[in-house]
Amino acid sequence: MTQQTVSSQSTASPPAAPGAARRSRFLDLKGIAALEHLKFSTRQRVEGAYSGQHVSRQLGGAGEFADYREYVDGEDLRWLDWKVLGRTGRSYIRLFQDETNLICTLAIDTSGSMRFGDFKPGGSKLEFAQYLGTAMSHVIVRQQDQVGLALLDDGLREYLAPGGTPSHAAVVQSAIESATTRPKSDVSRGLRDLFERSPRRGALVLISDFLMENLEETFASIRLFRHRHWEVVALHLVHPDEERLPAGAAYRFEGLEGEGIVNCSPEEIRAAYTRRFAAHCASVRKHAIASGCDYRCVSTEVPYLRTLAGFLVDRMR
Amino acid sequence: MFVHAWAISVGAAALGLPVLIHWLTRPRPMRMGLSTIRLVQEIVNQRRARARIRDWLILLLRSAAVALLAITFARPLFNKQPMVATDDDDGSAIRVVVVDQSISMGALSGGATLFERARGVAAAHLQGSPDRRTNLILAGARARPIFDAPQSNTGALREGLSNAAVRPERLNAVAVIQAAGDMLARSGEENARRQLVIVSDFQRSNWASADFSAIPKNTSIQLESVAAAQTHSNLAIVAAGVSGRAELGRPGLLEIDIGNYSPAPRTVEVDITLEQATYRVQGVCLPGVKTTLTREIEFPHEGWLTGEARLVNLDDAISLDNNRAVAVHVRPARVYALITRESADRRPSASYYVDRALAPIEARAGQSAERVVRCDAAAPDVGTLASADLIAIVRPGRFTQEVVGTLAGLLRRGRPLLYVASETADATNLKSLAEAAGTGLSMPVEFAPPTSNRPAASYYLSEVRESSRPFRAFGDRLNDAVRPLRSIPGLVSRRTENGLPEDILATYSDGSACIVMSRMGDGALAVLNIDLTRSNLPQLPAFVPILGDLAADMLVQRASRQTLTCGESVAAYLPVGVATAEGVRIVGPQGQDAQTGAFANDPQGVLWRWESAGLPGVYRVERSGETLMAMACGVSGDESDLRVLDASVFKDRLAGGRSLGFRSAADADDGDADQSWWWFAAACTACMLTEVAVLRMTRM
Repeated sequence: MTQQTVSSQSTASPPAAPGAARRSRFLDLKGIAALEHLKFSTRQRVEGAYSGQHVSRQLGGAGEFADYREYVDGEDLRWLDWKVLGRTGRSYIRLFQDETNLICTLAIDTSGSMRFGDFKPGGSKLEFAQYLGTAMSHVIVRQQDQVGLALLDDGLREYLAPGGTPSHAAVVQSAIESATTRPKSDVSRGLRDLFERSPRRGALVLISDFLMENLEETFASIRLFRHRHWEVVALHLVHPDEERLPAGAAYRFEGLEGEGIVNCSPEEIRAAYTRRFAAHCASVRKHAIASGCDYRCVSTEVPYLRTLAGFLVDRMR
Repeated sequence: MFVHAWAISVGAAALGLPVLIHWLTRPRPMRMGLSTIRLVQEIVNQRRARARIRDWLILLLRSAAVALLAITFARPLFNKQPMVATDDDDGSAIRVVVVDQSISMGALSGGATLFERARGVAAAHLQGSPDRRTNLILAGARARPIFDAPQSNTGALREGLSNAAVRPERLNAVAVIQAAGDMLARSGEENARRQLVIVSDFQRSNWASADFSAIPKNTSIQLESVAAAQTHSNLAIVAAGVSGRAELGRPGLLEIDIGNYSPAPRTVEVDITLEQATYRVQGVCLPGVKTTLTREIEFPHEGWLTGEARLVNLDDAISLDNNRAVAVHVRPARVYALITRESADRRPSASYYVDRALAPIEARAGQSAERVVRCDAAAPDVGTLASADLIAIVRPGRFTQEVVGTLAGLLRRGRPLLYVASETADATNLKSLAEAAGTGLSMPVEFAPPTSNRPAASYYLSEVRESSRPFRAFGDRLNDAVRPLRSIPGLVSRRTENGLPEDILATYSDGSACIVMSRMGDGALAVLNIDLTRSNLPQLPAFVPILGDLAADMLVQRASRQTLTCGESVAAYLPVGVATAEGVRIVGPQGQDAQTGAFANDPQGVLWRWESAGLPGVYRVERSGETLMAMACGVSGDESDLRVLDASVFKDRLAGGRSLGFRSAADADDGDADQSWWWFAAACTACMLTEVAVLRMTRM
């Protein structure tokens, strides 16, 4: 069942529902406290609603000097550089970079394949994404930026417009907590729907295993965001049991997205599978980089906080 | 056909084993949800085609390995299906079983004689359906069937087989096959099933000339060989006796022929016992050939000396051929009968010259020498003629028909005649003699009186046969010996149609024959066409050697050994002096033997006929205690060579298009004749190794 949350163009967060302050089980404040000093930085200029700590795409009168521009009749003389006029006899306007806030949308793939690994407690890719997404939303809101949520399966199942208040963050985290997988998968369609719902530029963090039928379509949808100068981060989740098939003589593998059943002996196909999976990962990376994404391959074997810490540190450089 | 047919059943069941094991041990798959199932599906689909081929190949190789293993244990015998099976229960068939009982079947192999083996094989073929008509032929020098025609009384056949034994005879394969063929042809309807089983060692010397064309076309022929896998070595005395004419007062040459049928030279010792004397000869006999060992001996007395030659200290395959009876007729010094009308006092005369040439040496005291007895040409004494070793005829005048008949009869009975021809009457005599002797005497020339216009000149010898007696003794000096000869020939001659040129030993310069020799059985007629009174031949040194050697050649021919072969038929004339068979008896090696044939009076004399010679030994013809004649009877030398004929010769050459099967008892004994099981075992191993290789190569 697709849950659609309609949001207006304003960036006001929806009001917190009474009693909605229950903390998500995926929110580990003690663990996240170690990341207090880390911030989610963008590498591109963003278009934020408010002044914040991110480099704005807009050039204004405050902030750091950025550039000169020839004076045109009718412009505000406050920005005229008198010293240059005195020295050269020519009129130039001083331009400054404004700092603004980040609008980040977390897109989490909830297709059936994300359920893989649920044979162990806390082992599925979706749970990992829920932990990571929850932590990330907390970090973003803590640094007074805005975070939104999109759950993708057969389309855009649920959308929460970006907001910066703690209550909004709680709503986002609640939505993440209640996310479940669906057998059908069409991430590209969900991304297109998300694109239509996001008028302002920002950052898109896509958390997915990229095990979809048509990778090309998915990255074509991602390129829509890139064309509008969104910063896109692709976090490619890989379960360790996906890299290498389980040990055993014979298995009956069942598709998590209705792909059917395959009987085989993992021993016989292990070498070929490993090569094929590595090729798949390489293909995802290639598509991501070609699409201008910040690509990271994340193993669910590694604790999510360590992954997040590494991710934030890299972005702060 | 399989040695262990049960293994096939086991193998057939075992063929299902790989399938059953595969089905029972296939792993039960664990169920698991997999996110990357698309990748697995791609890989599996890609591998499926290859895996299918591989799996079928593995299954095929495993099944083949099991099948080949079963066949290996079953031990198939290719081409070993007999043409005639012992367990054939077809009551309408007609079967003839031939069992070889010749000497070679007495060879020992594996502790039993070949005949004992043959007895077992033949007994198996005599069993079967009681309605089937069967006959048994015991084969030796002749065929000896138990019944005249195949019958269903197999009990009598088995009894006949159990009573049979090896006979000291050679196998007459031609006669036996003919007898079997006649029996099969006469028995049953035209389309009846006919079967011929021959149990023998298939000795090469006996069977190389066999011909199965006498067997009806639709007959199934099964040859059962009981020969040993390896040819046994054998030595044999194939002949023993005295070379040439044995004469009292002259040393004789004992000759023993030894056949060495072994792969290596052998040193042999032979003891020859003659009366009370024993002589030993020894020598080295080369392999595969006959070697003649000789020893010079002195004869103790006249008459018949009998004994035995025996190989000493020998243990070989056949013992029967290690002994051979010996019979030697020691004659007194030669006596020549001279038929002439000339007086003995007339000298020189042609008869005088011949007389002196035949007996040139006077007898010394205590010694004997040749002598010449003159006979009146008008009425020669038959007894004198019969007892003489050679009859010389010199200027006899015209013979009467009675004399011609007597001389012809003596000639037919082996008495040599030396005719010195020079007169017209001699031409007539020779013509009458040739007519009286019959077709057995074929003279190379016909003599005729000289024509009136013949030049009265001396002629010389223009052609002589240097390689023949009497001229070959001269060697290189022949030309010097005969060149001085000058003579006026008595008669002219012309070639006859059927005459042999090599019978003309010397020719005059005018083309007339000088010396001719015509053989007739053991007898011979030599004609010396020369007028000795008008020739210088008597004065030449070559005269006595020529005449003496001519006479000796004729006497040697007469003195050739007379022997009997066990199992063979006998037809021998008693000595010339024996006019009737009254009072004559045959004494065999074990005393008087009633079964020694019979006598019959014949224009040529008394003929001893015996259907089948008996045991080896000396057979004496006696009358009133006096030995008239002795003949040594021995086994055939052909049986001593134990080499066998290869099966392919029978199938390819001798069968004549008939269905013929060959089975050897040696192959069954060795157990490794059917080498094919090695190949099946190797193929099984190859299948298993190939399976391992395929699994390794197709590891995906």
